[in-house]
Order: sequence, then C-alpha cells, then structure tokens
Amino acid sequence: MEVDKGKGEAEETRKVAEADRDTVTLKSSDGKLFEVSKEAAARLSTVLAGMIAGGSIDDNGTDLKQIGSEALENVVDYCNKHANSIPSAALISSSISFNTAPFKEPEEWERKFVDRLSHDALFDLVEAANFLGMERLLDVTCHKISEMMKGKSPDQIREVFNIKNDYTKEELEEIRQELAWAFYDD
Amino acid sequence: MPEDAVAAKRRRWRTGGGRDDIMSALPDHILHEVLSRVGTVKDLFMLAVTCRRWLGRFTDRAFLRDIVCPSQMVLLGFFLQDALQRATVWARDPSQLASSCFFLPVPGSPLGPGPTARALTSSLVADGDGAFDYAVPLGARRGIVLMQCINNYHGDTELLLGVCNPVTGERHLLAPLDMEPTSICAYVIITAADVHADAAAGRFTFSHLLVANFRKDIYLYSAATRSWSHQCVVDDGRSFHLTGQRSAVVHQGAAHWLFWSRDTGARYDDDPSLYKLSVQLGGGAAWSGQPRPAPLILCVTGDGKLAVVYVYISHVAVFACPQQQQTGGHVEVVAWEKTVFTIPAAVPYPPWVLPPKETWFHLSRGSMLAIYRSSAVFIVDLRRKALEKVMDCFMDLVDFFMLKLGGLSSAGPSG
Repeated sequence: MEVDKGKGEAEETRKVAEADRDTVTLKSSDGKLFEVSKEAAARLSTVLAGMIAGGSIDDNGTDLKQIGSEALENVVDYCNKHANSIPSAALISSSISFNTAPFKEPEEWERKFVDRLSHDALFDLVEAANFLGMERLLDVTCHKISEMMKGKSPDQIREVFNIKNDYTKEELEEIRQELAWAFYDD
Repeated sequence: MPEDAVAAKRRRWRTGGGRDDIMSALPDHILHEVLSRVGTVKDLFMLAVTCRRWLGRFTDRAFLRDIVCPSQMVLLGFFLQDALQRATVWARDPSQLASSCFFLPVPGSPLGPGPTARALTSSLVADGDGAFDYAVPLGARRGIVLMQCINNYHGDTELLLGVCNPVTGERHLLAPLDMEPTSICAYVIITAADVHADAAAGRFTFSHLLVANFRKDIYLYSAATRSWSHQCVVDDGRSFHLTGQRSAVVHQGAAHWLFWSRDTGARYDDDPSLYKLSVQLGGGAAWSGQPRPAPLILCVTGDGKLAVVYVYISHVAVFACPQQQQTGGHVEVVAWEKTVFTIPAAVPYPPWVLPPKETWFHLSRGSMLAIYRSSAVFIVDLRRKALEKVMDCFMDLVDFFMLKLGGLSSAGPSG
C-alpha cells in the first residue's frame, strides 16, 4: 500500500515537473528527437494540444511513428518560427476577390518557408500537418501546391507532379480539340 | 497505416527518382483542400487531362461535388459582346451605351443581379473621387473590363475610360482623351502578351488600348506612360460603318474590325461590301475586302485563321481569310475560303416567329456561343460543325465538367 502510494506521488510530481517544462520532445519514425515550444505546439496542433492536455507526452520523446525525421524537423521549425513571428496586417487581403477560399493569405515568412522545400518534402509536410491536425500549416502547404498547378499546360503539370502520360497521340489530339476553349484564350 | 506499410510506400516512391504522381498519393480530403484553392476551372481541366487516372477522377460526380461545390469556387458568368451589335449606337441616354457589352451571370454568381453587380461599376466610379456619375461597361477581354466613365452625359467634351479586373479588383483610370465621348465607335483591350509574344505571363495584364471614332481617327493609349498617342487616320474616301463586334479581334499582332463600305464612286443604292480593317499594334493600318452582305461575326478559328462567320437560321457559313498582306492602306480583294454546314434549330421556332431570337457571340478558337432567348446557351464548334447545348442559362459546374470531360473518358479504351 505504502509503496503504491509513493509511486502515485512520484508520478504526480513527474507530471507537475513536465507541465512546468516549456518544451516537449517529439520522436520521428526513424528515432530522431526534436524539441518544440509547448505553447506553440498546443496552439498550432490540435493533436499535440490533446496529448499535452491528456498528459500523454513522453519526456523521453513522444513517438510520432507516422512522421519521418525530415518532415518532423520542418514541423518543429514551423512551430518555432510561428512562435516568434508577429502577425502582420498582410493577413487581411486588400483585393476584392470573389473566387478564392475564405483563407488568409500566407504571410511572407510562411511563403519563404514552403518555397525552399523540395517537392517531396512539401508533400511529406502536408501529410504531417494533416496527421498532427495543424490547420494553419495545412492551409499554407495546400496553398503552395495549388499555386504549383496554376497557369500550366497539361505537359507542365505532368512534369511538376511526375504524372505519367498514358494517352496515345490520337487521344491527345482529341483532347486538344475537345477542350480547345481551355487551351487557348482568344 | 502500419509502419511497414508507410515504409513500403516510401520505398516505392523513392525508386526511379521522384515519386510518381505525388498528388494522387494525397489523402482525399487534402486533395480537395488543394484543388478547391486552384480557383479557376481552366487549371482544373489542365490537370484532368494529364492522364487516365485524373480524367477518371474528374468525371466522378462525387469527387467533383467535393471540389467545386464549396462556395470557394464560383463561376461568375460570361462577359459577352453582342456580335450583331450595330456600330452606330445613337445613344440618346447612357443606358443605351451599356447595351454594347453584356454580362451573363450564372445563378448564384456574386455578380448576378443585385447590389454586388453594381459593385463592379461603382468600384471604378468611386476611384474618381466622385468625379463621375457612373460608368458603363463597353467591352471585355481576358478578364479585363473596359468602362466608360460618365460625368455629365450631354456636356462631357473628353472621353473618360477606365479598365478594371472584377476578380482581382485591380483598376486603372485612363488619362482623358480629347475626343467627343459619344463618337467612340470601336476599341480593343491589348494585353502585354499581345505586344510581346514571349510574355505569356502578361496574358491578363492590361498594356494598351486602341480606340477609334466615327471620323476614323485611331488613338493608342499606353498603360506604361499613362498617355494617348494619335496612331493614324484611316481615310481613303470610303464611307465607314462598323459591323460585328465593336471590340476588335486581336490576331497575329494586329487588331481587326469589320466594316461595311461602298466603293468610291458607287451609287448610294449599290449594295455595300464588307471590309476588314486591320490596325498593326506597332502602327499602320490596312483594308482588305470581301464583298458580301449578311449578319456576321469575326473570329479566329481552331487552326488559327482569321475568319468571318455568317449565321443563318438553318446554316452557318465560314469564310477563312487568306494570309494577310501588308498593302499600306490599299484595297485588296482576294478569294476567301468558304465552308458551309447546316445547324439544327437550337430550339424549335414557333411558326409565327420569323427572325431568329438567338444572340451570337465569339467564344474562343473555333467555337461560338449562342444564347437562345436568354433561356439556353449553345456552343457551335466550327471545326466539328456541331451544335451542342451547354446549359439552360443555369450552369452547374459539376455538369459542366461532366459535359466536357465525360465523352473523353468513355471514348478512350479502358485500362
């Protein structure tokens, strides 16, 4: 009985100590450890917020088996940058736009953040953001991918996204004719 | 997903340098997030035709409903110029001016009838610090709308024009032009890509504006210098009656309009002939003739030729223009290549209706749009010689995708 009680108290103390720390440790699928601000993690990720509130954060590194180290590094980098950034007036778009989502434009640093990523890293980051329930990061990365599609011909889109063209020459010609209005602007 | 499955997926992706079709690998709800941000139907079509798998997805109604139905993407409508508009608009009041350009909003469009439609014109008017009473649209090209600002309709001595992009909200108020406002008869919006063929990115960027009046003066406005210059006077003693669109067709570095004209020395009751006036964007103008009277539309066909299209109740005649020659103002009468095909009546005519009630528009390369009594929209494909119903003036984007892509996906061999 005594021992059990003592263990319970120790557990309690440990939890308190953990709650006092202002960072959490995350572990990628390949075992690498990353530290991230607890406040930013809880604010930006619904999944991490739930884990922090529920006390399921492991001091020795919370296992995130679905996320590779490269993607997790980007997630942590994003959280830390976000914690330091000051929201700017650019959040409110000045132009009148009827056909875009009710979505706040990425800020300058967010643009730069996703612009420097390779395609593979960008797509890994989208999946990581999705897994961790990071709405804002998901917004920013999806926006970037949609930008990559705009104003391109089918050939350019195939190249960007590595899509294999499985049409015959005749079929391509048929598509061109059928969709002439989309291929030309006149 | 179990860890080894993830690893296997990654290994598969890593092989052969770069992952195959990385977009397809995205979970559905993320893919919807991405595609619903693309914003234009055209860009989505470009993805849809990259391969069979994407075509398959874009012809799946459930998939389409998820990406096009959220309010994020809205087809606003069409800006159309009445192809059979008579040039001589004896505008006694400004509301008649507005009739040269006409906007067909799709149901639910933010630019549909109501207060938001007025936002389009009022945004430009407001830009003038209350200097104008209102602005009316004259024409539109590549998403740019040309507006005439009206201060005091009967008292204005200068022509005040503005261009705006209703989607981005960009607007540009042009310097006043010393020309009687009611004498404006022909014009065309020129984009950066028209001036520099390599500037593909400038396709939707306003660069110049050509304006002609009844006295055959042609003026050029440059957005870069914000000033007008007198381009040329087209005068060879001919009478000058614009027909077809007031907004020119731009083709191979020149703006083209159609005119009725009587040859010098011709009697007044002689039939007029049809002439094409071509103004080079770099300066210079030329006439070329094609004597033939009928209701007509000037357009660029699917194979890139300039053509005059005549629309009758039961058939369409296409006259393709031979390669244009620089004749420096001289008349050149050449044989135009003629094609005729019959079209079924779009909607049966009640026996007591004599004149066709369709309104015809030049849509894009080789296709034209007809609106039947403001109730249904048809597309005539000049190359395939076919008439196709597009919508009942109620365009649902899901139906639009199915209509344009459905045929392709069922026609191709499976697998």
